[in-house]
Amino acid sequence: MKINNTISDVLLDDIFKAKVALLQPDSQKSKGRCLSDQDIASLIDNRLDSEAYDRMLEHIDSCDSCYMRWVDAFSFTQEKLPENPMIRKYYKDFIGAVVSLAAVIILFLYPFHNTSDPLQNSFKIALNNNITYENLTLNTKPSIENQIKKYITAFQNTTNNYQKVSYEQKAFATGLYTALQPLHEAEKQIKYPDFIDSNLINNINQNDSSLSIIYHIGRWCLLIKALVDSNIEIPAELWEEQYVFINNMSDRIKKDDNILTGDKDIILRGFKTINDRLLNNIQQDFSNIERRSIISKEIEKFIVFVLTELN
Amino acid sequence: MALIDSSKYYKKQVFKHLNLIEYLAEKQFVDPNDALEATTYVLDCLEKESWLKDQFKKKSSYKTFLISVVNNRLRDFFRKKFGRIRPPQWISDQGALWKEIFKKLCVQQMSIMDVEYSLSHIADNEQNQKEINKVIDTILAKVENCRKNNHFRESMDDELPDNDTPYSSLEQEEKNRIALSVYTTIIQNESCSPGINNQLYKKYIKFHKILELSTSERLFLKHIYQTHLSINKAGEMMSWNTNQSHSKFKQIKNRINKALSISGLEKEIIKLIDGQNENK
Repeated sequence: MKINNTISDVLLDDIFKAKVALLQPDSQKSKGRCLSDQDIASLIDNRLDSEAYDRMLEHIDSCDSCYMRWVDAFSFTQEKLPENPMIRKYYKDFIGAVVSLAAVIILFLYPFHNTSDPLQNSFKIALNNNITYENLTLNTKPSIENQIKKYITAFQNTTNNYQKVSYEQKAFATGLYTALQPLHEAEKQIKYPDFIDSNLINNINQNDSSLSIIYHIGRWCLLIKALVDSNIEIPAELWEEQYVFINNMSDRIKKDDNILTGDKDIILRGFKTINDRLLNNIQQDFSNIERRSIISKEIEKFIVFVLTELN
Repeated sequence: MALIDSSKYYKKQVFKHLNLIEYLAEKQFVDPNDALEATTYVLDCLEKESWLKDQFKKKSSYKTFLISVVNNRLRDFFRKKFGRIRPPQWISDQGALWKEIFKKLCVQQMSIMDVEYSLSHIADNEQNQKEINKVIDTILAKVENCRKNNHFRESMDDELPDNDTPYSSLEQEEKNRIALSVYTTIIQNESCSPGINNQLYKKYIKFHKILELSTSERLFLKHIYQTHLSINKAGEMMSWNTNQSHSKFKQIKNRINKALSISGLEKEIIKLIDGQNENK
């Protein structure tokens, strides 16, 4: 029964239906001669009589090479070229340089900047209280570094099935990865993992994008995990920031139409568990290692769940 | 008039658009050295052709014509440099865009970012870009030796052995989708050699007779489902406005649904899937 439901769902898939419709019952041989350059240009500028138009479309339908020439040329005619070729050629490097410069300035000003972003505040408080990455590496249990490596390795293993890894999962894993860096004194410049592309980096750097939200949740998870796994005294204000963060993020997630309902459920349920049951408890007794370890496990569960389930 | 018809005039026109030619070469090859070499090749070709004096029939704007010519010469240059490429059959079956991405990734050995950049003129929104990324990821994951340079010249057979379809290593949850892909393959084989699954083939022919897609409708679908263009851009290529494109899209989808159900092909495919799942 379960299988039948899935099959019906898949059968409702427009992509599959369109692909069936596009299969040719007759031979796949190209019809007619390949189009000349002038033919393609006339087709794009719509300067053909209907007979020639039909004939050309019929050929294009049966010839991938002419089809791609048409799509390519059409797309180029729609593009606006940069005025100056020098700017175009070095555009990517130029943007890269500007972004790097901006990152350096931000990192330099970061400790002095009084921000209202609860996540940034949390990192700031952690750093001001000397809660550094080295302090968090404990002898008695696996180090934070090893634990994070475990997540990232597990994630990279899943990326072998490329199709299965969503942008959301990549954004979350990137959050985990980059959050290590502000906690690590030696790391002064944000580096991104090699499983993400420039498109995703741009997306997560746009504060209002849904991928940015998920990226910051990844950063937050790592921070909380690092804090609770340490035996360092954690200032009360740091815990307070977490309520603000969870509330802010919950609101943004609820309002964001780009995040799938299933993904919203996963994140909001995780937040609720961490917020209601655990953070409330630990606030009453910051030094209680047992309570911290419960949070640690809960966060770990949340991380693994998000990494494997987010669509 | 004499001036306009002279090749000197056309040479001037070409050099007026040198910026455009360089841009097209850069998009095709990304690597600055290759792009420069390609630009030189294109200019040599144009010079040999008297700067397109005789080819330009004024049936389009000069710029569109030049784009079409340069694009084609760049493809010639690609063939000269890398030879004629024969991608594995399963990639060819996915349409022209897949072949194009295969060429860039596995033959030109472009980095993923360069492939994205090279196709950014086709992807007109974020969704298209995502689809292109998916194609890149699939090809990288499924084509053995993709990153080990040219194994894909025309003389080579398909890279994948019979029992290793590109779908064989995917996860359980995607198996139904895979099954459906297999059925489409069965249908394709069936069209070449009727008799393997006669009932399915008959229903399939009936489906096509009921559906009766025109060539422009087929191309419109190809734009959307194989090349991953937006509905607006796909319609624009067919000279339809936004409203026409969207209503045409809805109409075609409804017709496909109807034809699938009336022809009985939908039921036949479900039967086939059930059979496969029971056998597992």
